[in-house]
Amino acid sequence: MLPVETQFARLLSAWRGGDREASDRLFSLVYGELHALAHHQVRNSRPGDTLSTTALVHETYLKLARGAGPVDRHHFYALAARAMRQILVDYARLHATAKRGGGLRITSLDGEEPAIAPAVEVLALEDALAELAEVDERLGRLVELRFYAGLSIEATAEAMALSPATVKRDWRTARAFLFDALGQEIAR
Amino acid sequence: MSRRLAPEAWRRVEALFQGAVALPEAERPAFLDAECAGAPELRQRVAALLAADSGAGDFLEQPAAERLGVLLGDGAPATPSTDNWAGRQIGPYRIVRELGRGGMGTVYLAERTDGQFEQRVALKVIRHGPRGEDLHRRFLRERQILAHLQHPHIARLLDGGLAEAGLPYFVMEYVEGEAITDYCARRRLAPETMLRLFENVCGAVHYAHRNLIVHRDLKPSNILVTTGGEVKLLDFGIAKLLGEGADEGLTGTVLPLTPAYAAPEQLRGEPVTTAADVYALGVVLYELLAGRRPFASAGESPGGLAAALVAGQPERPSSVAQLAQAGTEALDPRAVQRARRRLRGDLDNIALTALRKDPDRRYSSAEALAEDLRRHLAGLPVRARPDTLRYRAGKFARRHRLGVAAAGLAVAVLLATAGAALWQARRATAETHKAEAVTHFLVGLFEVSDPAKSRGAAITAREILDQGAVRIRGELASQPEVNAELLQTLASVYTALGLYDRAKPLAQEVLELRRRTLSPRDPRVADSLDGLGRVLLARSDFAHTEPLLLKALELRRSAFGARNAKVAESLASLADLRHEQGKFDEAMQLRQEALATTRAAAGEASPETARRLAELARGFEGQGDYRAAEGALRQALAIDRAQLGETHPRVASALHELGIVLSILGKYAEARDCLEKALALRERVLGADHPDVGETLMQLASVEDDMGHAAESEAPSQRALVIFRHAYGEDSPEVANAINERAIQDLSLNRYEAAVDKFRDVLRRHEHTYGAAHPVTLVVKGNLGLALTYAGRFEEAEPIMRAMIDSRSKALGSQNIDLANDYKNLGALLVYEGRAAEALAVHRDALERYRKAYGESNDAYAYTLAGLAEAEALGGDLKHAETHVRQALATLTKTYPGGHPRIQGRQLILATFLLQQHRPAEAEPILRRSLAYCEKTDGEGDWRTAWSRLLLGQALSQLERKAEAEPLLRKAQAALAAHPNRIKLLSPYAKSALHSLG
Repeated sequence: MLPVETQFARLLSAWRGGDREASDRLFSLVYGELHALAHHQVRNSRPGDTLSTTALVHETYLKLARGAGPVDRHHFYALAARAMRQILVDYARLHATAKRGGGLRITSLDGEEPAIAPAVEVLALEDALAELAEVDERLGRLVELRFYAGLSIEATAEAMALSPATVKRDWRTARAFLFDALGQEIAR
Repeated sequence: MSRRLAPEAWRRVEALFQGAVALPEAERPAFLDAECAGAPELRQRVAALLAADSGAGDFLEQPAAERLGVLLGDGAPATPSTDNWAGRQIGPYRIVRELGRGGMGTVYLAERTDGQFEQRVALKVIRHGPRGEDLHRRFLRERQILAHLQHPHIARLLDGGLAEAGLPYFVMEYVEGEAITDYCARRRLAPETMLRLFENVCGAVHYAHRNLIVHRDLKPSNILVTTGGEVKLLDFGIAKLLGEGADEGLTGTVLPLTPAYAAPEQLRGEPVTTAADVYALGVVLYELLAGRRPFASAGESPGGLAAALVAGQPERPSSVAQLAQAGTEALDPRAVQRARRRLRGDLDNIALTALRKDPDRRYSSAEALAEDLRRHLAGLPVRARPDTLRYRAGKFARRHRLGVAAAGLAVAVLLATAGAALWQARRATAETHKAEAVTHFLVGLFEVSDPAKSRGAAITAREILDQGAVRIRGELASQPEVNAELLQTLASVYTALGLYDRAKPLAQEVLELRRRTLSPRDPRVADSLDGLGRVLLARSDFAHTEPLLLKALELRRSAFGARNAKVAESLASLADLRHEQGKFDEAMQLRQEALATTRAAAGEASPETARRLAELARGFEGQGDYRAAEGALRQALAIDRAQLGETHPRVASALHELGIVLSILGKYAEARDCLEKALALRERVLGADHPDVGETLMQLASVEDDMGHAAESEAPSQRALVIFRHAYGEDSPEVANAINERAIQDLSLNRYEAAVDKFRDVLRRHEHTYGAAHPVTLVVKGNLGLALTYAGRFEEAEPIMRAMIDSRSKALGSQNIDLANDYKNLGALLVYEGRAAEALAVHRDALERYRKAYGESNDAYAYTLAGLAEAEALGGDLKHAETHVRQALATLTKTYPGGHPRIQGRQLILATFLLQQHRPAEAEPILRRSLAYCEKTDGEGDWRTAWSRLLLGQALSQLERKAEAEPLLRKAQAALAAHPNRIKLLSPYAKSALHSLG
């Protein structure tokens, strides 16, 4: 087995060269690394610590894309975002019970309100995001980069070739859409 | 309201939303009125978005990984809480400080303040759970049961209540300790200690189960170990109370479980039983053994992970823990090694049984799990696998190690190594049914060799192995690495049994297979390179051996670094090659390096070190330093005896080597003793046809010959020749060596012409195999020269001997001790040829070499001294001649107290000198004894008998006892007439005496 960075670099160039299968395998690779890294960090953190998405993605990037060149960073982030999303969904599906009891409440900052089961929240978010992406593909990508890959406004702007102001505005719009959509979910 | 928006419609909504948020809030309604006139749905959508915008707070501002951490780790978000409860009074307790945050809430250290008890407790506030009142009601209901949970290893639940804002809390026994996984890792506990701790955990869980309490959330952070080494389980009952919320349809579907430790049925939301706790125990055990949780692996395809958790197989803990050390164990049929592998095997199976997807297939209780652990620690078969045939067979082999025959030994080795191969088989190949197929195959093999099961037919190891090869190829073709592992082992076993013709193709096959399927730098490729190299070396195919061994060494060095036993093995293989090639100095350096490396890697008293010592001894022998060789071999033998037992094959090898060295040093009796022991061992363990048995037989023959029992040496050397022909083939160097040995015996038995023919044959073979300049070839050349000398063919002998000496000087260094023998032989030739001055010079040279190497009181020195004496006599210096031969005899009679041809020969020479000095009275008794000896040993018609008779006649003549002399002289003359070639070997004095008889 070749070292993972070599695999990554090769797959990346294959993918850019139009190899569709490479795309799947690339995703697989990123998924695996991200997942492993997340696990590792969870293991080594104390209860109450939160995982830093940015750090996770960045570390995964460092690990995989060593030889791949700066121009590929954006490809990578896109992949990482999708991978993170997939990981979450996979886990959430495991958690989800057949019944969804009523009374889902969205986490807010009060701390006194019971939180909804995180798994259910993730799945609901997933549905909402799918809806958003269907209606506005660019916003969908933006949410992926911002939320799932943890990129800052500036980094997102760079990755999407937009101005930061546009990204800020769009992010606000996307958030509103999703929040609204989630509320609708809950009502169901 | 329909949710589905068309993209164009969305554009409009988006634009309006963005326009509206840019305005102050007060202006927004007017804006919307204006823009959305006549489109109420549009207005509604934008308004909804605006409401969402203002109510969203920090929704999605915390990126995804936080949720991931929650899902992966403790099962619920750790919401940052801004309050600090220290100092608050909750019921009769006052909070001292926060201890930690968990899935459901916060745990505090608290004190009781009502004066009733002086007690520090842990107070857990449940923030994320069912509604407070409901939970408390449940708690009150269960309180009786929960209070009854009194067990030394369970933290007691003391109290419960409702705090402000309806938050429920529980009060528990305060435990200060570490999570069991951390505890064991930090202290690097031995497996046995760790397992005993874990047994306590199982006991506590079982106790709770018997009280109808399922924990539901067992995990290391709930299994603490105090500084005193006591196990304490936390949160018993609490999870239960919390978990019941889901069933009763209350608000909030909080799942108080930790996915990593949750049983598949829990994850699916199915009813939970004690089996779920057993599963969790399995995960914890796995973590203790392997250092990480099952399924914590990278590289899974998306969605595959989910599938794996619910339906897939975890890797065996031992294979996970072993990842750092790739490569297999070297073939070594020691019970210690086997036991260690089975240790892992049992534990692997115990953990995996607890982790079965189907709850019915797990241990029926925590107690059953603990029971199996206890059985494992006691060395008894465990129940983890219902198919116990393999276990019975395996235990049988271990318990009856000494009684298992050679066939069983070979197969048990195969089993153990294959077992190791299975443990190392990767994820892709560890499907249950395939693993079972391999197991059944191996069991089948073993059944045949188990004496209790075989049906009376004498099944040999070879047959079993041959069967094995066929079956491995057939049944395991789809698992290349397991296949390769077993075939490699098989090749090694064939090699060990001396079946090189079978070993070679197998070794080649494995090498090719591994090259195809593994990375070129994988250490297992090095194993195969080394394996094939050794087989080829055994066949003396040097040209092909060298690149293989060098490559293996390089791979191993880069994989393992310098201080590693496998690297040492490669060095040793290379040393063997150099030794066979005659490059003794280089071989020595490699051997010293291998020994130092092995000592560093495996310790002073380990069998590997013994092996290196034995190899080093062989190196010393190559350099002619037999004393050092003896020392090294004795050390090796001591280690092997102590570590491996008296009957181990390696002990036999050490005895064999020691026997050789001792015979060279002249300690014949002890040498024979060693060799006889070695022979007995080898015959028993390896079988009568094994080439190593042949080797020992050869050595025995040689020693017998050296001791003067030439007749006794014939049978063993003949047997050895037969063995070698069968094992190695007619053209092998081993057969050549055996013929050489028999030729030497011919010399002792005075069959000089036969000896010459044989030596010529051997020389031809060795020239072909090794080349003309190879040391072994040169030795045989010297032998040939000697034989020609004895055959009286001096003109042929001399050039051969001189050329041989010349070559050996170049190859060994002119000071090498082995040259002394060559010079001595040359000197003898020169004496026969009557060249006194040259003979003197050569003998003196030889003598000096021996004196420097061995001193003056050894046999080699003595022989040479006698030779010198003859040269001196030839030159007329009878005085010195007599002194020297007497000196020689004095030394030799110490070694050969009874009669011996070599002594008799010198006695004859002494008598000759005496006659030359006209001292027949002293000569007579010597000659009478000599004649008697020769008549008995060599027979009437033998030329040496005739020689003795001749000289006796001369003595009697000198004593004026002509009447007695005459018949003796005539008889001698007649006898010698029948051996015209031998007349040349008579001393000059005897020759002239004969001549004067007419």
